[in-house]
Amino acid sequence: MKRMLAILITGALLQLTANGGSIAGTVRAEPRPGAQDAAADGKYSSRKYKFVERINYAELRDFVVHIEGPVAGAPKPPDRLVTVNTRRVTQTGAMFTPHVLPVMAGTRVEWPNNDDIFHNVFSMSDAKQFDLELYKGNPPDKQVLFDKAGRVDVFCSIHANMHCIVLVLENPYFAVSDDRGHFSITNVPPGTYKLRAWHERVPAQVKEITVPADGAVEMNFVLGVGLPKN
Amino acid sequence: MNLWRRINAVSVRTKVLVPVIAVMVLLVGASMWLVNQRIIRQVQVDAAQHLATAEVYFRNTERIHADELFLRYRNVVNEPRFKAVLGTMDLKTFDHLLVDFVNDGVANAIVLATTGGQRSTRTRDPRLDPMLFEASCADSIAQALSGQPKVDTVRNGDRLFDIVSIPIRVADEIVGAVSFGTENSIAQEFNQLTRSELVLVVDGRMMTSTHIRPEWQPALQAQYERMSTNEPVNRNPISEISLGDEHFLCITGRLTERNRGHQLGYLILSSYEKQLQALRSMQRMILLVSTLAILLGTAVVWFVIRKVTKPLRELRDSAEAVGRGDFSRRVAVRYEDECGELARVFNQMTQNLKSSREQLEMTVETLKTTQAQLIQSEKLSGIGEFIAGVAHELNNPLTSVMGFSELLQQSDGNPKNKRHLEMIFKSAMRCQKIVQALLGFARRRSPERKPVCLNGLVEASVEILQYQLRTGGIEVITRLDPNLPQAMVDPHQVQQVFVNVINNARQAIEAHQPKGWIKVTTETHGDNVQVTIEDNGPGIAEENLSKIFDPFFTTKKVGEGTGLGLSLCYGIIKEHGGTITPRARPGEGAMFIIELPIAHGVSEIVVKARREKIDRPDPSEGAGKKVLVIDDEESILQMVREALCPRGYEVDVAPDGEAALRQLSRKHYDLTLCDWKMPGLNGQDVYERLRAINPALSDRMIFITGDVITEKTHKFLEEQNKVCLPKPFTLVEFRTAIRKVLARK
Repeated sequence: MKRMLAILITGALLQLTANGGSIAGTVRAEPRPGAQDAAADGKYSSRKYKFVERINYAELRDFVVHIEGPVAGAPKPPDRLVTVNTRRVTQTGAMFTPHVLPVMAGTRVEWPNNDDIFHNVFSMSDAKQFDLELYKGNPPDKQVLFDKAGRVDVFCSIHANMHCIVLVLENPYFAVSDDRGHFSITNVPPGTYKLRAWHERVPAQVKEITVPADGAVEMNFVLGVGLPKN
Repeated sequence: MNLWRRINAVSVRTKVLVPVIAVMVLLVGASMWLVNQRIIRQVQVDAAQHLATAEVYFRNTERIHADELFLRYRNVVNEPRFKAVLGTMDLKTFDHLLVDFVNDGVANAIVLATTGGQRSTRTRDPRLDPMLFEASCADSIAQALSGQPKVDTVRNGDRLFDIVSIPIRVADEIVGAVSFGTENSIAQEFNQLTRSELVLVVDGRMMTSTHIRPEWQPALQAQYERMSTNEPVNRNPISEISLGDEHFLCITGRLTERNRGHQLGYLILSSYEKQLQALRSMQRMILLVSTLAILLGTAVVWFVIRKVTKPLRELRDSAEAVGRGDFSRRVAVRYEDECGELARVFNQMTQNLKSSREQLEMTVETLKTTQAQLIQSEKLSGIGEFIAGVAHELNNPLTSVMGFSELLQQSDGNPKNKRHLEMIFKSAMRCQKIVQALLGFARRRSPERKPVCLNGLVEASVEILQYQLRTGGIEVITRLDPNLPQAMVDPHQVQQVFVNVINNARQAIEAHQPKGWIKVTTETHGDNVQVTIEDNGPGIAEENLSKIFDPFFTTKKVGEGTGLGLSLCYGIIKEHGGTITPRARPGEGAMFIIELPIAHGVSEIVVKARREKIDRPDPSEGAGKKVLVIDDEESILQMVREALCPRGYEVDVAPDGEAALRQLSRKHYDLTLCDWKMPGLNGQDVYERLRAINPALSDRMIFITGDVITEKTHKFLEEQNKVCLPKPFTLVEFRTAIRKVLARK
């Protein structure tokens, strides 16, 4: 009874708030079969695997799942500002928060400096090139409009450790996984799309998905890096 | 002098060995000393060179290091990050940048100074006190703030830091300076590269050395100060220093532009202890090898000397042996060198000595024998002279006794008297025989050979010894072969042999037992006449049997026998081609067998006339015959007269030669009888004078002699064909001789 009621309530809510289907699932990364074993018995120290980047898969966060390409009937980018904060987390290092920021093309992002020392925000990426100079606080002129889809790497000129990625996308159907790898994309117009799971350090994965007019579609991703081919 | 004598007294071995060992030891010592000196000098020169190189290297390295540091940090201030931060002129942001720099390993410590006097210091090492570091950088920063970059080396506690201070300019205006501090590790690098110890002296304190022990520091300090004050210039000569048990060569210097304008002193130490140790171990090895070599050399030399002196020792031993009289000793000739020659010569000498000595001994032996024989013969000769004299004196009375007893026999008819007279005659005859035998034995005669019947000689010999044999209670048994052939011998010598052997038998029996017998047998034995003389005495010991004929061998007491008797016998028998063989056993008597060869083809010459029957004197026999008798003996004259007168002879007598010659010149005689030996003119003188005046009468001359007829006399008689009657003679012999001479007319 309770269960039925819960389903009903959930369904009603979804029906109320959204117009279309939703995509949910988990995304995580794990080594391809064999790669872990090779790592375990120390082959990384061998000549062959010497330069293979070691990845602690369990600690990978900030997966982004999004639908590729423009989606007909998608809403326009929002007018409100998206904020990336700059602050010092330790005595020696400062950082941008969040680290990965997916935005729809046409979104404006502000870069408030919450630190007591000067910071700089700049990018040399193709999708967007900008330099906000050194500044403190949140002056109104330190905003950037990301109008072109693509990956934009953002740095601080005087602090080499400071880095964030602004992922500029063509539609608003994207989600960042939570700490447990769950993601959920709602209000997706029904149709068949290419769903892409992305992470800055492992290769992305694209899957075909058909979103019904109503209801949820579950899609799970397992990303990973295999061993280099012989 | 004493020392010299002592040196001379030591053996050859020592004489050679001591100088050889001394020379070897000296050689080793001298070479070791030389090597020592040379190597030590070489080691020091090497170390000095090494040190000089090290110093040059150090100064160069230091300069290059400073240049590098300057180049490295000069552009840090031009870095975009630095410039960007500089643009903010925000000290906090700068401070954060310094943290980043330090974390990135740009430097160990960084000091940022502004012209405004603000300072920000960041160090990577938490032990490094930022304030202290900042203080040590003060000079350098001050200079940088004045526009001059500065490279300095400063002490911070126990650590040395190189500090590079660079001025910061904004639009050609100095706004500040930044100092980069890096830890100075030149000492370690230096040590690794040059194997020398580097001691840096900062603020008068010894710094950075890996192998320098803390306890050496005072000595080093003193050394540094001494060297740096003695010399006004930077360069100091190399000097030696001993630290603990290590030897170093030391050089000091100063880098004037360092240490905040104070001098940065340095001390470079180069140890040559390893070389010294190598030298010492080499010395030990050389010493060991040398000792072994010396020992070996000594052994070899000793052996060689021993080998060389061995012949000498052998020679000495042999010489000693020869000195003792051992001539059989010979030295072995081992080599053909001087020693061998010496040995050979020595052996030759020994041989010669031996033969000389043998010859000498033989000569002495011969001399002794000869001497003994001489003594014996002299003795015998003396005895012979004596016996001859006695016999001669006996012969005249015996002639009278015999002649008168015969005359009495002829005249007296009483048978009893006749028997007595016969006894007297026989006794006289026996006396005559004894005297003759004595004369025969005593007189030396030259050996002659004539056929003789040995029976007669045996009898004569027994006759001579009759007295002794009888008194000794010894019976003589003679078994003489009447048909014994004659032997060609010298009767005197052979008789001497018989006498000798019989006498020996007698003496042996007498010494051993109260009574005994001696048996003498003659017989024919093949081609020989064999005479066996046997006794029942004690015999002869087995071991003496082979020696009895040796000269001077005798078993008699000293003084009793000469030991020559039997050896003379042996010699005589051998000379006659015969043999004399003893056969004896102890306790069973002795037997001597004498064999002499038979004389063949020689007829017997009757010497003596057969005994005539005593007959009546014939008065017609000597009728008209005038006879002169010359003799110095009255009894002889009387007897001859009485013997001849009854036969019709007219007999005149003369007592000596003078009287006889007077009578002969006055009266004619048919016959002259003359004694051979007379005082005044003797028989020969009378004969020769008579022959001068009356040769016919001299032809009819008969000699009478009481003496033994000597060789000379015998020769004279034979030449003149004269008859000689030996005294004593029987009347028959006398008359036969007269008749024979008268018949010559």
